[in-house]
Amino acid sequence: MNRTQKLILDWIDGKLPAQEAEELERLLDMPAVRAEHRALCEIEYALRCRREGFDLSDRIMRTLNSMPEDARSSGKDADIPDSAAAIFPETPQASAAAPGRSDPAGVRRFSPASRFVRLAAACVAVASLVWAVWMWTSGMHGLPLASGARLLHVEGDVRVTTAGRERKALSPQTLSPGAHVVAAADSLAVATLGDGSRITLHGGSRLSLPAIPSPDGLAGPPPGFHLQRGTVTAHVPKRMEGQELNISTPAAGITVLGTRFILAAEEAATRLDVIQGAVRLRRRLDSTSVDVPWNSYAVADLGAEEAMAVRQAAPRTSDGLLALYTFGDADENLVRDVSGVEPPLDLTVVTPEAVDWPSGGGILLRDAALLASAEPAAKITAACRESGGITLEAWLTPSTLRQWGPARIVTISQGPSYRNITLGMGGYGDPGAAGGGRYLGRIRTTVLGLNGLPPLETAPGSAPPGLTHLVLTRAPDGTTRIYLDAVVRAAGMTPGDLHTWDENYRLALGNEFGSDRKWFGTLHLVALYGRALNAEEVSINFRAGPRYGS
Amino acid sequence: MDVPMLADTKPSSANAHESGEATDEALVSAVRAGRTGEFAELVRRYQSDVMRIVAALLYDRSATDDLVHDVFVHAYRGLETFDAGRDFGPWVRTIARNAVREHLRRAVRYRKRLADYGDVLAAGAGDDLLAGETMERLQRLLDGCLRRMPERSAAAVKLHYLGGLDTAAVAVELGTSPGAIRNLLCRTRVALRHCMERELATQ
Repeated sequence: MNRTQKLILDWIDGKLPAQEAEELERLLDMPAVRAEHRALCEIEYALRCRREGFDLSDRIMRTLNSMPEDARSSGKDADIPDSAAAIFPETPQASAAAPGRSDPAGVRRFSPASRFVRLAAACVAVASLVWAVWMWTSGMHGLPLASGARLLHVEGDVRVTTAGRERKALSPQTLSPGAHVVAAADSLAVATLGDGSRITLHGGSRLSLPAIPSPDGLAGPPPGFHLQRGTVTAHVPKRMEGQELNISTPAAGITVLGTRFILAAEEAATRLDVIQGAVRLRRRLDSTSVDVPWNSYAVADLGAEEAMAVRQAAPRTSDGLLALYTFGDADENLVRDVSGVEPPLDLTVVTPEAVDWPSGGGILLRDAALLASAEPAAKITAACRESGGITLEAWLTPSTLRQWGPARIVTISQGPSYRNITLGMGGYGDPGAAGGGRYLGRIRTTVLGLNGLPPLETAPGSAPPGLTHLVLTRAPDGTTRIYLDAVVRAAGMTPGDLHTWDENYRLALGNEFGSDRKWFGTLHLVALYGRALNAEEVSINFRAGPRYGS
Repeated sequence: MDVPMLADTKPSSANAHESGEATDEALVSAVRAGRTGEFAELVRRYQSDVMRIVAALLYDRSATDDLVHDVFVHAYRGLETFDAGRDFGPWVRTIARNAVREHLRRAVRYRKRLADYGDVLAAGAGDDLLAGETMERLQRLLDGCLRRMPERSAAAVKLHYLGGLDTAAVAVELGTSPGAIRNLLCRTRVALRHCMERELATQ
């Protein structure tokens, strides 16, 4: 790197002193330096455009909503800085007199161009009103109105069909009433239904939104969807009686008042697993219904002769379990390891003033809370060094998706840069910076070093709001996965082995030892295994729900 | 009866064409009619374009965010001057380029010549670089070259540019000093520049 390049890069980084800026200015008279400057700027630009998770829409809308209603006018109002006058592109309207500007007497006057625009807008509004009334009265269906549903995230091959035209799905993308969403095998789509409900469409699934108007004919299509085949995981916020979310499959109808569940549909049968709350399942065969409570499942089978039955979910996987925390019986700020594996690795609530114990269970970490073992996590470290595998599992509800640090959820470590393993959330740098809304795992290996970098991360924005089942697994061959609600959302390799794990490191939840990497939210259950659970075992633990033994 | 107003307009943007969602014109009409919330969709559609223009010129990430924010607030307030017959995207991108020029004009630390270069880049960001093909080619080259960088260099770039860590935080992550990270990032960018030049020469 020569001096010219150094000067250019310092200028790009905003760190070029005035004296050296003069030197750079002189150098820029030379064509070769100008070319170098341009090339380095382009590389810088390409790197900055890699920024992840960029979304300012919430912040911008908060600003707009705080503005007075008449703030939107010529764009050259008194409270816009004078310099902003140069900001707007030249348009016929902009170059004409500003519309709507008041004269000294307070009388609003409009230019001819402005009057034309307003007249045209009025014509459009009237035409739209006529069209809307006509549509309402004639009962037209299936036009691409806004349904309120949006695709938030897609992975792999996901396609959307609207008005008979199939297209590759975009994210984000608004879904029109009547839209069909198809996720190919090994693909994934996360969508919101516009009412706060969030659904994950697994690979090999096909889902359709209703095309018909709602019963009142005014408020768009009814909430819900049809799952033709495949599996969805859904989180539906609580609703009032009479405002249920209705879902249909070829074999069943499902009525939801607010819960978390998994629905798997084939042509002849539908299985419903309820994680939280309760859901009513109606079999199309005979229109019989059962209410399926949490930690249970039922199957609606078109070929069955016997009545539908509600069955208890399979018990949680216990093979390889080393430590389990359910936060059910805090005893003098001691969270007990209830795994039954000796010796118990109990956790002390180091900051009792920073936690709450919600009546619904779990522990709420609300202000730089730290739970830590008094002794090293020796039984975990020893088992993992021996097996080369590990699983960290947590049922949690983040208080906010914009956490940073990354925020520590579960860690076996000795400070921010020395760890055996960490399960965390969020990006780096300032709160709200890029990279938020995701989960990550850092694992020390003989290759990845003491800090376990680079981490395995889910995509920015992949962390769902509300109750979440989060699992990090690492197999002896280095295969590492992060599951969200039993779906693999990140996969990669952590090469090397675990023989360098330090047996003196302690276990902590909610923060880092000696540092500020606090995580905000509620922990409902945390489990550590001395091996990598497979996908089926992760699914079993997900279906068993967050409430252990209650 | 507001919803049909959004749909009863010929789509104009590529996204709207593909998905049958509300067009830019329909969204602009809805906002002008008082449905401010529809502006959020316009923000979501064009914030990346605006960010790219702004990011080309401003080093500081929070300043970048602030300027992107201001561009959309200006666009909202000036919506009455928007010619409904034109595309919203080029309009808001022009606002962004002008806003960047204004920002640089006011930034006294930039000397005139350097600010002029900023102008050139801001214009380029809106035209050549942003125009899909050039940007894609640039990113492809960058991908290939990043893979050839030493592991530590690539890690520093990832933490700094993708993760948003400042050099001090990258230093903590990689167990070295901020000065060493600054030098490493400088050396890596120069190495990327030479690598990309070689790649271009062989294509």
